[in-house]
Amino acid sequence: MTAEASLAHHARPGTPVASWVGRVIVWLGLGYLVLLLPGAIGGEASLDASQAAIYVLIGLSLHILIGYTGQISLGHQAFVGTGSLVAANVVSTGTSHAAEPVHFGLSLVAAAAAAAAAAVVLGAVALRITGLYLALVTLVFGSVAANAIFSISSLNGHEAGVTALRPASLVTDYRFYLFCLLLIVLVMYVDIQLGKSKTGRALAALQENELVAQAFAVNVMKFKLIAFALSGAFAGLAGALYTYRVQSFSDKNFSGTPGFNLALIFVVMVVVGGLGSRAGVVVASAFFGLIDVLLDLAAKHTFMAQYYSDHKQYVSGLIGALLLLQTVILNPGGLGQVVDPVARWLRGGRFSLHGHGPTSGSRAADVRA
Amino acid sequence: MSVLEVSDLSIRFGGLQALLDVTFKVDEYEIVGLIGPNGAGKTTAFNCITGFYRPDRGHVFYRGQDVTGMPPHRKSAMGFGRTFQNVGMVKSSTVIENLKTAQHASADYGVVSGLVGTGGVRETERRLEQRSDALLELLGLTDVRDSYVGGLPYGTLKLLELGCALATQPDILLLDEPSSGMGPEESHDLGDRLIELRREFDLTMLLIEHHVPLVTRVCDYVYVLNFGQLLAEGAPSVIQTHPEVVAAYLGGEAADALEQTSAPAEEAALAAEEHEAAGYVRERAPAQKKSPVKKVAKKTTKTAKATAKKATAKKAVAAETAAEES
Ligand SMILES: Nc1ncnc2c1ncn2[C@@H]1O[C@H](COP(=O)(O)OP(=O)(O)OP(=O)(O)O)[C@@H](O)[C@H]1O
Ligand SMILES: [Mg+2]
Repeated sequence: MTAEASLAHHARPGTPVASWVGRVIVWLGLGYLVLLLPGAIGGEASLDASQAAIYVLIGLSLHILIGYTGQISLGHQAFVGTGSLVAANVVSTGTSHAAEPVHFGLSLVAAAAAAAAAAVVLGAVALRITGLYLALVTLVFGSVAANAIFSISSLNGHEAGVTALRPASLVTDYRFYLFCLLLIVLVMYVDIQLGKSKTGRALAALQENELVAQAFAVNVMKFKLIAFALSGAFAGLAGALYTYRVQSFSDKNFSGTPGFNLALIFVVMVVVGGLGSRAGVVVASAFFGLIDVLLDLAAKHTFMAQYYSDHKQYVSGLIGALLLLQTVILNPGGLGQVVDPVARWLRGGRFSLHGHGPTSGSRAADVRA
Repeated sequence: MSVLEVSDLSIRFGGLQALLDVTFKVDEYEIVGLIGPNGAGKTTAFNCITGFYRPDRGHVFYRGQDVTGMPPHRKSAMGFGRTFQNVGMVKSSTVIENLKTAQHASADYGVVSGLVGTGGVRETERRLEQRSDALLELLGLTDVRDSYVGGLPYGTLKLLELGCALATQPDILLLDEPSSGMGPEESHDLGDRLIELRREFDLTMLLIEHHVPLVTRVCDYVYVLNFGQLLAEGAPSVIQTHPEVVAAYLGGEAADALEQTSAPAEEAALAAEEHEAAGYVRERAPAQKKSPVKKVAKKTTKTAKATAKKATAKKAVAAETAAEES
């Protein structure tokens, strides 16, 4: 180990001091971009950034299923929606007063718990199926559950939406955005611990070969359900933030065509990010969370402005489709193949495009089939 | 009380009776061989014992307890360690990760504390890592510690898989053709290793093995399966010369077998020594003084030739199913 480390040290380009200066500059740049820029821009920027943050949470959540467990969920919008609905109804502020911090906290916990429960139900139904049939079952489950539950009029504010004002301390959009970042840190911490614990190893084993996992004493059913529960909990948390971002819950976002579109985007962003690459998924999810904003910005000052605003939903969809295709056909490791080396370098490792894993593409290849 | 007892085990796949009324036992500290031609049902017997298949009929007893319907992960936790015929490891993980995964049952923290990352979890993880490293050292595989399993040569994999099975802290170890992919010398070393491991870990073993010298060397007792049924049982030296066994099992490989067993005297002596050292107690069939293998084999050459054709055909089928499986 020490020999290896010193080898790596020698092979590092440039003097150590110079490369550390480089790292610090990049860290500071990233810190500014993520922490300060949305506040500095003002206007809608913090709201847009919180949308990106929420998508990151959803990406991490879905990655537990697709990346760690090899299960697919085409109904993830239902879990996000469940969280959104539960949070709004638990806190039920009405339109005049801000949420009590206690109620706000409770609503987050309830959202996570409810979505976890919903995910466990789906997981139990889907326990023995994989591949195409699992995709189908989750697709149907997601849209049916969303359409059925979210249309209960006493839960969705009789079609008008349920207002859920943020607590006083998060009343500005920028503060709310920082709160979203805090939750990302929390979820990432849990995600990292997951990877280091027996649960992560059990999931990796059962993803590749259930027989081997069982021979290693892993209760395959149990750990699949744990993955569903954890993924559901994170999705529910993201759903609660979804509600508080716009301070109301509307069933229209999660049911019908918009809901289905969301489900697709969620899967696409995880695959484009790269299965098995946490950093790749984070970057790709943030991108898909911001895609409309970025396109707006790009179109605003060009002759394309009119054309773009007429064809808005097709343009972002097309970009998603193209990114998916290029990932699946040309670059199965996803964005992670580029992001991971950078992330490793930022943590003090050597920069090398050749990851130290068995091509993370080998897992992505399964999605291709 | 036997560590493992199997009674009237039967299982059918469609039109194929893969096992029929198979009864045998493995006593404490024994190394028992399970041999038979390709497709005889050896691996199927393993799968029934370890819970991967549910037998149509019959029972599996572990230290007197009926464990017939128990799911495989619970059997693993209870003390059944096993290897697979075509290597059962997590190929996309590293060697050390595999060894830690195999210790799943002894990672005694809850899932939630694992996610929180408490001090107890870190302590346990350190322990798992130490035990993994100790196993690697024992097997002389420390240099592949951080390699990905997917890229390693087959012989190394078989040995590593044995390490993973040991990592599950088995009471009884079921090994499916551990010497496949190994040369004669490596498989000789494997014999030494198995005997050493038994002593070190107080193990009982059930061994599926085609390599005759290895069976004669390490096994205290041997059961022979043929077409899903028990054909013969006895001490290795007896089985080796059992005419029916020679005809059925060694059929297509009679010439091979002759060659392989051409120096059985010292091997047998060594085995006997080991058995005594092991305090081996099972009543053995009266031992034959000199190995009459050659004579019997010669006598059966005719029969062997006749069955040779059949055997090659069967082998081809077995190879195909193996290919399908993988
Ligand atoms: N799951 C299954 N479904 C259908 N047939 C099976 C199954 N498992 C085993 N068989 C069949 O049962 C028979 C016994 O197979 P088994 O793998 O137990 O043989 P074996 O003695 O281990 O042979 P080998 O020495 O080739 O490994 C074979 O004909 C095989 O094709
Ligand atoms: Mg077999």
